[in-house]
This record gives sequence, C-alpha cells and structure tokens, in this order.
Amino acid sequence: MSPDPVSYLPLTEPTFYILLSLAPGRKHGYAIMKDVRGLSRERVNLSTSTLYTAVGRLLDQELIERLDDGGQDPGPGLPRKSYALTDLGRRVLEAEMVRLQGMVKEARLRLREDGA
Amino acid sequence: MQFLRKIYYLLLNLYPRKYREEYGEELYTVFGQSLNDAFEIGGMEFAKTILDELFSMPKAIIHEYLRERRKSRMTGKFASRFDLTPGSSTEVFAALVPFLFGMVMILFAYIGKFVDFPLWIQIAFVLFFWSSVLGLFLLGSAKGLPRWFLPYLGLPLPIASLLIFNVLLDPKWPGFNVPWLVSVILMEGFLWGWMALIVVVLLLISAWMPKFRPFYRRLRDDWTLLSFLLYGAAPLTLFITFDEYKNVEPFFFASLLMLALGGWSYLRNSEPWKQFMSLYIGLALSMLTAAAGKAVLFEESWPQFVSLGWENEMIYTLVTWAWLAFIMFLPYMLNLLPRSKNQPSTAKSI
Repeated sequence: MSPDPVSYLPLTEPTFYILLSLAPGRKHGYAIMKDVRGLSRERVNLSTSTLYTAVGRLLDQELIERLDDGGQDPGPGLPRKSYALTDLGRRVLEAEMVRLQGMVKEARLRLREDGA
Repeated sequence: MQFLRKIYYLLLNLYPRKYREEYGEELYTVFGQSLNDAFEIGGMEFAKTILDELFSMPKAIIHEYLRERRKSRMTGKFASRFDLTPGSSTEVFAALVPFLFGMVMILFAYIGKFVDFPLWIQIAFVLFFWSSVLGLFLLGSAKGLPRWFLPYLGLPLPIASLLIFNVLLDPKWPGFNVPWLVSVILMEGFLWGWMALIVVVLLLISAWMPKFRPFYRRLRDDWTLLSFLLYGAAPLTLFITFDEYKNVEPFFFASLLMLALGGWSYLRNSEPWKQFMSLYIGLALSMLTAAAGKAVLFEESWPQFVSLGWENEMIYTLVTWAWLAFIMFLPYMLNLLPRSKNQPSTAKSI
C-alpha cells in the first residue's frame, strides 16, 4: 500500500530542489547542497544543518533513501553515505510538477484575460 | 580553518545522541567541504557561510530534539513512566487489563448471587472498571499506540462488527439454500468478517497518512502486533457468544483466564512464531471452554429448545473460533506485501 503522492503537497522550495537534485541519481550531502544552489540560481542556500534537517524529514517520509557506499571509497573527505530518490519520492516530485504546471497555466490564462 | 572545524565538532554534541551517532560524521564532513569551497571563493563568502551555519544550527538542533521525541512517541518508545519495557510485568499487566478486569467483573457478579452487595458498591465497582479501561485507553492513544495498548484497540471490534451486520445484513438476511453447517459457516463469517475489514481500513489509513506511517511501519516490522490487536476482540466475542445463557460465570471466567494466559505468553516471548502460537492456543482453549460451557448449560438456559440439541450451539461457537483464528492469521499476509527498500525486514515468518 503506497500513500497518495498528492498528500505530501505542496512541497517547500528547499524540499522541491532536494528531490529534484536527486532525480538523476544518488548524491552525497555536499553534492546535494551545491546542486540545490545551482538549480535555484543561488536563491536557496542550504546550510549543513538545514540540509540534514530536510534530509531527515524526507527519510522519515520515505521520499528518499540513505545508501551505504559499501566498500567503494567515495574520495577523500567525502561521507560514505549517499541519498537517492525512492519511487514514492519520484511520484511526489512528479505530482508537484503537475501542480505547479497547473498553477502556471491558470495564471497565464488569467493574465491573458486581464490583458485582453 | 581547523579551529572552526573543531568548534563545529564540539557544537555537534548539542544534537540528540542518536542523531549525532547517525549523522555526526556526515555533518562534520559536509561542513568542512562548505568551508573549503567558501574559502576559495573569497572572504565575504567564507564569513557568510560561517554565519549561515551558526545561525541555522540552533533551530536544527531544536528541530531534531522535537523530531526524535515525536518519532519515539509514534514507535512506542516515548520515555516516560508509561514506557513499559517489552515483556516486563507492568507491560503484561497493562495489556491484560481487559481480560483480567473481565474476570474480576465475572467473579463479582458470581459472588453477587450469594451476597447482597449494597447498590453503591455495585455502582462504584462498575465505575472503577470502566474508568480504568477508559483511562488506559486514553493513555495508550496519547502514548503513540504502544504494544500493550493494542488489545484495547481490538476490544470494540466485535460490537462494531455486530452493529454493521445488524444494520446492513440482518434485516435482509436471505438465508442460503445450503446444508446447515455451510449456512452456519457463512452466517458466522458475515457476522465476524467485518472485524477483518475494519482492521484493513485502519491499516490503509495508517499507510496513507504520513502522520501514522511510523505506526504502519511497526505493524509491517512485526505482523504479530496486528494479531495481538485482533486478540483483544476475543473477550467481547465471548460475551456475545454467552448471550442469554444462564450461570455462565465459571465457564466465562475460565475462558478469559485462557485468553489472559495466551496474552501473557505472547508478551513474554520474542520470536514471532512462538508469539503467534501463544495467541492461537490461548484463543483455542478459550473458545473450546466456551463451547463446552454452552453444551453443559444449554438445557437449563434454553429448556424450550432442548430438542434442537446442544451440539448445534457448540458448533456455532467452534465456527466462531475458526473465523476468529482465520482473521487473526490474516496479518501474516503483511509479509507478502512489497517492502520499501530502506525499511529493514525484521518480521520473521512462522
């Protein structure tokens, strides 16, 4: 039994960007942080604490999962855990995208009406 | 920079211990990487990063304490005087109150046949009984549905099932053109099967609503918890089974005692199959005692129906038992459902 993705919406901006950052594949904490900054064009600058608070919540909600890098050496100074989107996380992200698209579409229509 | 890292490392001690053990190393590494990158960009970025980290940390620490508290509460590990150690005598007592109090009530009613208790004693006794059960019910609800509380959730299920049957089916009950035993099996199934449906609905709600998902995860991790919840339905099922029978006290008392022993054995064991068998044997002995009781009491309770034979009444009770036993086994099916990848499978199969 999988929960309804819509019940997680709307996502906050940092949550949306964290999930979006993990959409292509697994990442370490710092890579997520940098990616979120890039994706949001510097608007969302997560500190370490804020990032891990959000990550903890997303893990609880089963939207992401924490993966052990196992025997692989992630590189000097890199943590041995990485994060990946779960199926539910991906569906929530898609649902949020649809929600945002709907909002933009409505706004465009309304603005066009006003302009006409 | 090394100095700042050391300070950060010390500040990590302010996080809850479990969180620190789990994420401390990652936080420290990521903080170090942020500092390095900011330093390469320039002085302003470096200062901004340090300030961001320092200002966001207190909020994050408070948040983690609250999250840990909330999580523990939902997983039944909330540290309080009501956080009863699994298998401890206090947990056993709290869980078995519905059975034990039922026994005390029966004993009281039985003694009442020989001793004329003043009305105020009777009222006080009933008030004490219901306020204790209600108090423990509210306490268990508030404390995140711990294991000892699960039979309380199962307690009202037979009444709910009976009500649904009476409202939906009984007025239009068509009867079946089938052999008598088959019709009894179908009838009892329609009578008690609603309990399974109600539990499925509760399960779906707990899986659906993010707030209740920790409870759902607990049920997924240990399928016997749901069987234990359903075990709580047995006392009122017995009560309904004995309806309108005379002098049922010794048999009712013995039936509840069997249930209490089964519950005790469940709580004291830690292996799922042993726990489940404890409940199964407890239920079987209890219902067999009830069936034997009905056979013995049939003639004095229903003198006008003696020709129908006590065997039929026994069969009704045994069929009820079979249905309850079947419903109690259904939670095992939870193991067959797919499991999220990051959820460990702790439930062992029987």
